[in-house]
Amino acid sequence: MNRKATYILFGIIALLAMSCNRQPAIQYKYTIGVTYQNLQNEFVINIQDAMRKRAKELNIKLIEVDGQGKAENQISQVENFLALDVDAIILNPFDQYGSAPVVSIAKREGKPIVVVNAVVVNLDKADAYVGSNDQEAGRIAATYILQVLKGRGNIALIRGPNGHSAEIQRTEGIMEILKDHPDIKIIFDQSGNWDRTQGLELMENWLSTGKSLQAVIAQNDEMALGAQKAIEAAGKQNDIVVIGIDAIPDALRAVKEGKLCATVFQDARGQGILALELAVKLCEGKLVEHTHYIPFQLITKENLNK
Amino acid sequence: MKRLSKYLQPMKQKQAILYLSRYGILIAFLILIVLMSFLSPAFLKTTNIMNILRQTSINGIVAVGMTLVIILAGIDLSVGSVIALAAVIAASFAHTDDYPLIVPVFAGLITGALCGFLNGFIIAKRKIAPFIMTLAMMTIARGAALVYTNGRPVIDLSDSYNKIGGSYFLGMPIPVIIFIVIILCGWFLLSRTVFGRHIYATGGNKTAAELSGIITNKIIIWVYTIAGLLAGLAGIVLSSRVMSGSPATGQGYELDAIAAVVIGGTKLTGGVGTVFGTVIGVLIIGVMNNGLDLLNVSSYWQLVVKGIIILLAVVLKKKNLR
Repeated sequence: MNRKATYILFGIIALLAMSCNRQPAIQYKYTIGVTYQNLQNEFVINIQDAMRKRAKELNIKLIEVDGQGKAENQISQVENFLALDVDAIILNPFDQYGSAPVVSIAKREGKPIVVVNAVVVNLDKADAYVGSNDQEAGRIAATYILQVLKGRGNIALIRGPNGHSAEIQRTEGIMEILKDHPDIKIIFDQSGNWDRTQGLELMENWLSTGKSLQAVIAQNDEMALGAQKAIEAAGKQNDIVVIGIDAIPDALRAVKEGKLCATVFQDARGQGILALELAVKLCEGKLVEHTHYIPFQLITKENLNK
Repeated sequence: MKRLSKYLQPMKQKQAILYLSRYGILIAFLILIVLMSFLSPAFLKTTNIMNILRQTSINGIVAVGMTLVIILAGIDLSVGSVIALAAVIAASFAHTDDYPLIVPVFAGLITGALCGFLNGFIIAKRKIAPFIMTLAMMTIARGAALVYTNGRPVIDLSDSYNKIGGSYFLGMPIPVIIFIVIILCGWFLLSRTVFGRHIYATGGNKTAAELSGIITNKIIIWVYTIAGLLAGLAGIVLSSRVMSGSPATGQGYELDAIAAVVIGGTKLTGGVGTVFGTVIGVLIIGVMNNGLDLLNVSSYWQLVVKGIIILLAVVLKKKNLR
């Protein structure tokens, strides 16, 4: 029996020892807690990479946690940050409503908080916000499709998860452009939950209806690439154009090969770096401006190499 | 550890086995606590202990219901979706101050209980495998939540509703108080009532239970209804904590609850298990989540560690019972 107990004990010790990030004994200037919406998403990982790099340069200790796509996890994590007495908090919210209590909790305890990439409903209470205006991304994508289709045709829309702030705003931006063009019809409109497989399956189903379709607007590149794969499998790659948003490396390659007609570049690096710098400034007690927009850019085959 | 064996030797083998099989998981839990407190100075702070309790209360409420179901040799995969359905329905009655607090709370509880009742009724009367029935309920309830809200979260909840998840009573977070009450109810039900004995009997051997005069269908329907009711309660606490009712919420909660129950020593084959074990299971998962976050362990590793802990707990249990 005691041997078994020993196994368990050593098992747990070994696991913890293995999984701990061993920190060298350096004096850090500040400790900043970061909660990410979901670290299984490449775009979020890009923000993380940029933030880590900048933190190292500025001699900041980062405590990073993953909300794993659940707002309640983010609330718990910020409570944990307070127990650790961090100097500032960076929130990359998953859900604009559900993650909002994170900001309230931080402000109740007087901790500076910077919101990055996505918004929360009580954004005005946060000390600063860095992001890109998602409506603009929607407008850019819709305008480009309008141009390609010469103002006439049927399009399919693949949205992000229902209720996600980027989904709501990108949809608003797209609709804002399309509402003035009655010859463009949205004949399919579903959520693909930012997921490549779901984008693929939606597209397969839509193609099997046999309806005439000229373009697909996907609210992120993953779903765009999934849809593109289904279109290619059906041999319709010359009839239907696909546009994505985010400009992840895979999508850039697809633009280069002409598989996606374009993608809209969202600067994850720029967002991560600025969010960290603002948090450091707040730690130093400096005043910062509240809203910082990092602009989107349309990326097509023509301007890809720039 | 070699020295420890000297102390154990005078004990009779059987006694020692009984001792470890009963308390092995508790010992593992205590070791975990000691380890975490050495590794992270923030771990044993009162605020952090409160954090852990609050963070585990939602899974804990669901897991108590799941314990009853699993002792009955059943399974309930629908709780995550039922949480979402109860959350959006409760929230929809809570987002104006027109109704007193009792209305959204009752709406959520009744929603949960009704889903649970349907599970139990069809499992009992139509002899459908619990796995299949609750799998169907899982998609039905998720779909119903999306239909009810049109895919959008329900927002602007009243302050009194938000207080359920966010405020304190006698220095304890309210979700923790609810969790403790549920633990006591579950413990009382299982170990101090005839109904509880009937649950063990039905889960251990349904035919024998029927032969001894237990109306097993009634037991099955009641247990699933209770599990549903508790999922509804968890939905209320969750929506109040995030101050919105989202139809996408609660995904994967059934698996967290099952994990806690299994770590706590309840056998999936039924007839064996305690609420106490489940509470320890819930706390082990909670302490792991909290501690690994405090230690800044990457979330990718956290998943691996959690899985191994579940395995270790079950392996320990198996070896001791041999």
